[in-house]
This record gives sequence, C-alpha cells and structure tokens, in this order.
Amino acid sequence: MHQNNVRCEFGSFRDPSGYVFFFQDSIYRTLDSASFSLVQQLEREGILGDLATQGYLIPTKVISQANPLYRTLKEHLPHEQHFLHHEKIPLISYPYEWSFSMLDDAAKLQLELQLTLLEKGYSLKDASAFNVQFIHCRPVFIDIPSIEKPRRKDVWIAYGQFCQMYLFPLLLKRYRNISTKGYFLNSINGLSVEEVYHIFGTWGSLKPALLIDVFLQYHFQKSSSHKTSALKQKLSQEESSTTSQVINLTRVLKKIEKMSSERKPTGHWIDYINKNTYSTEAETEKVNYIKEFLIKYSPHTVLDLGCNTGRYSLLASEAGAKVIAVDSDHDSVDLLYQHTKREQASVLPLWVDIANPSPALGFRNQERKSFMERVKCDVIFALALIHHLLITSRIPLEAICELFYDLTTSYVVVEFIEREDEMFQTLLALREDIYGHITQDLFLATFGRKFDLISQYNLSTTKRTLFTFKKK
Amino acid sequence: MIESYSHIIKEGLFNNFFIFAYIDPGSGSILLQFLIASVVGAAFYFRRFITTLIHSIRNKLFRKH
Repeated sequence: MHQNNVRCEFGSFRDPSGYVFFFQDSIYRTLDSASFSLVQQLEREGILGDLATQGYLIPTKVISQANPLYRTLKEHLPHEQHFLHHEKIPLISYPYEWSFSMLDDAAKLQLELQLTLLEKGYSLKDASAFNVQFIHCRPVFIDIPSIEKPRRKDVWIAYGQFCQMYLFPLLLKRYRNISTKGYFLNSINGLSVEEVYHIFGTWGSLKPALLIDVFLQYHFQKSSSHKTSALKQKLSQEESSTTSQVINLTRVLKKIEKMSSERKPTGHWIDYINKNTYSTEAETEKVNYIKEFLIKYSPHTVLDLGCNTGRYSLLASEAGAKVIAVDSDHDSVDLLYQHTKREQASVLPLWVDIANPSPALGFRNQERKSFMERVKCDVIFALALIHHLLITSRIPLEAICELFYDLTTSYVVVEFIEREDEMFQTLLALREDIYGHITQDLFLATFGRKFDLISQYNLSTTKRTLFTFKKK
Repeated sequence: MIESYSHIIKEGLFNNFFIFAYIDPGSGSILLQFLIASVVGAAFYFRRFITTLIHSIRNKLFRKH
C-alpha cells in the first residue's frame, strides 16, 4: 500500500470510513463524506477542541480545501476527498504491553469520554482498547471516526466490547490473577462473556463485583439465542433519555476505580533497589555516570531495557529525553507507571520481555506490529540486564550484541557483570555453569565488532563495569 | 396508577427479556442494559409513587390533628 511517499497504516484497514496514513513524518486520516460532515460538526461545536484540551482525544485538525496541504495530499491520494491531521503518538503500544494500572486508566478514559460525549448528544460506536494510546503516561483516544450520533441514548452499543476489552481482563487479573498479557495474546479482541463466565464458574461469578457484568450478562446472552430480529428492531428505535446509560457507566467506572485502589503490587523485582548487591557508593557512581552521559549526549529518545522501577528512565526524562522503559516484571512496570503518572515524566513504561518481545498480530500479521518493528531509540540503557539475558533467557553474548545493534540508532550504555558477582551466582542457582568463558575481554571483543567503545567506568566495591558504546 | 406501573414492568423488563434477542456476542450486554433501564425507570416511578404516598399520609395526619 505504498503510494509515493505516502505510507498507509495497516492497523486501520477495518474502518470502512477511511484509513490512517503517514506523510512526511506526520499522521493523517482520510474520511468519507458522511464521517467528515460529522467531524466538521464536532469541530464547529468546539467538541473536538475541548476534548483534546481535556486530554480525552488526540489533537486533530480538519484540513480544509483552502489549505495548500490539502492539494498536496490530494495529489498523492487523488481518490480521497477529506483529510484530518492527527498529533503524532511517540510510540504505538498495545494492551498486551500495558500493566494493570495502564489498562485500568485506559478503561477509565474510555468511560469518561463516552459519558462526556453522551452529555453533548454523541456516543462511541466501538470500544476497542486498540483505540487508546499512551503519550508517555497519559492515555488518549485516537479513533475520531468512532464518534457517532446515536439513535438510542439509554444503552451503549459498544458496552459488550468494552467488557471484553477492559472489564473482563481487569476482573480476571483482580480475582483470578490471570495476566492481562496472556488474555490479549490469547485472543486479540478479548474473551466472550461465556468464556469469562466459565473461568469464574457459577458460584464464582455470583460474587458482587461479577454478578451484573458476568453472571447476568452470561444468562441474558444464553437466553437470547432463539430470536434475532426483535432486538435489532428495538435498537433501531429512538430513545433520548441518557439516565440509564449514565447510571450503568458510572457504576462500572466506580468498580474500575475500586479495583485499582485495592491492588497491591507484589512482584519479585519491585524491591530490587533495596535488595540489590550495590553499596551506596557504587549506586551513586552509577547514577553520576548516567547523568554525565545524558548531559554530554542529550539524547532525544532512550530505551531502558530491564528498567525495574525506572530510576535511570526518570533520570533520562529529567534530562529531556523521551523514554520507553521496558521490563518483564509486571509489578515493576506498574509501579513505574504510577510514579511517572504522578511526576508527569516523559516515560512510557511497557510490560515487555526483551527476550521474547510482543509478536506481530492480527490479519496477515500486519494489523499489530511486533515490538522490534516499532521501537528504535537514540540510546539504549542495558543496566544490570546482560546476566539476566545470558543466564535466565540463555541468549548468547553475540545475539545480545546484535539485539542492541538493531534497537539503537547511536549509543548503548551497558553494565557488564563478572561471573563472581553475587547476583550472577544467585541467578545461576541450580543451573549448570556454562559461562566460564564469559569474561570482560570476550564481552569487549564481541561488542567491538559492532560498536566503538567510548568510555568505561568500574563501579567501586563491585564486580561491575559500565561501558558506553557508539554504533559503527 | 397500578396499571401504569405494571405497564413499565411488562414493557420495560419482561418484554426485553423474552422477546428481544440476538445471537451476536453483544446481545447479553444489550439485554443487560435494557434491564438496567427498566430498573431505573421503575425506581424513578417508585420514587414518585412513594413521595406521593408520603405526602398524602402526611396530609391526612396533618388534617387529623
């Protein structure tokens, strides 16, 4: 779907009203006439601008025919009539990369947006979690053509989808400790109410938090399998009262808020900063080394691999970088998200195991891109990470070097840990010690094939050394 | 008044439950919302009914004294 220097975003191909495309490093959307007149109406009424200012919607501008840009776009896409310009999202992320609190906040955004639109006489026609993206730690709704003038305002047509994409994974995590990552990777559009009911069981789904949305919904679903047209007919009738929808969505919003306030992170690595093997002196040296690096090279983007609770991500954010912080430990990412949200830091925490990053998914494996395809940063931090990749994930040193080479455009800051280090030995546990050959010399020789060594620093009282490399 | 109340229940709750149906995965969620709409409607009706009842009792008691 390449046309000159216009590149279409495959993720939007299902939408019959238009598609998203990239042109000269900006993001645009085409629209058919019906959707465009609705968007124009939203703009005239000031709704588009207000919702963007309030942080609900991605800032969007209608490109009028008087705008010279319109003519340029029309030259590239002569069959299209209407164009919108969207603010660019720094990194597209997916629900299977979000922590519990992130999915919870995305759900709140979706409900609050629906309630706000309802007040103004509009509604969302779908509730896919893929329509929400994170700009650092702030969720935002990106799919403008999802807004419609509803016929009925007492029910939300997308409520079933909302349950599948948000409520069910949150409830399953909260009450069954089923991972949201597994939930979405297992079924990209979420599980049906039948599947969720059977996971909880009859008695389980009678729990007050599940009674209405799982137990009742399941039984309604089951009892409605023999007649089809009447519900459709009922849905096509007009109803102007919003009261029952407002009451229902407010109930769900309270439930979601309660779930997030009750949750306590318990992951193994969240206390790493307190439990690690560094002395205070070594820790200060490490912080200073990173600070100096950030001052010297002032990178625009940083990818912090194995970020833990994000100490170095936050340093990079303070230095003005846009940071993507990834870790395979859910609760570390969740804590970092809550922290960055409070501090309004420019960090996007993602729950990604770099040894097994998110695959490409969806139709023709093109709808949702793989993590490796989406991410590229000026700098990579790989602090206290290599021994995890070597031992836990059994990835050879050369492959680790190639991974970093693919992910960075310029620099990589790596912490090398000798075999004698306490954490190295702890990770080894009952595993066979096949790492006798892994020395600092071998490490330097391996990385030397792809990178130039810029600087190095031995952390005092430890068996650890920090290295900065530049891509060849 | 009683007739009107039974109308709400019949139209709003039982009709929705037994007549309107769809095999689509969203049908349960739509029926659930119709149930909520019916309950809300009935609650509003009851509120008016109870308020009227309280007023009439108060009026009666007031008149007695």
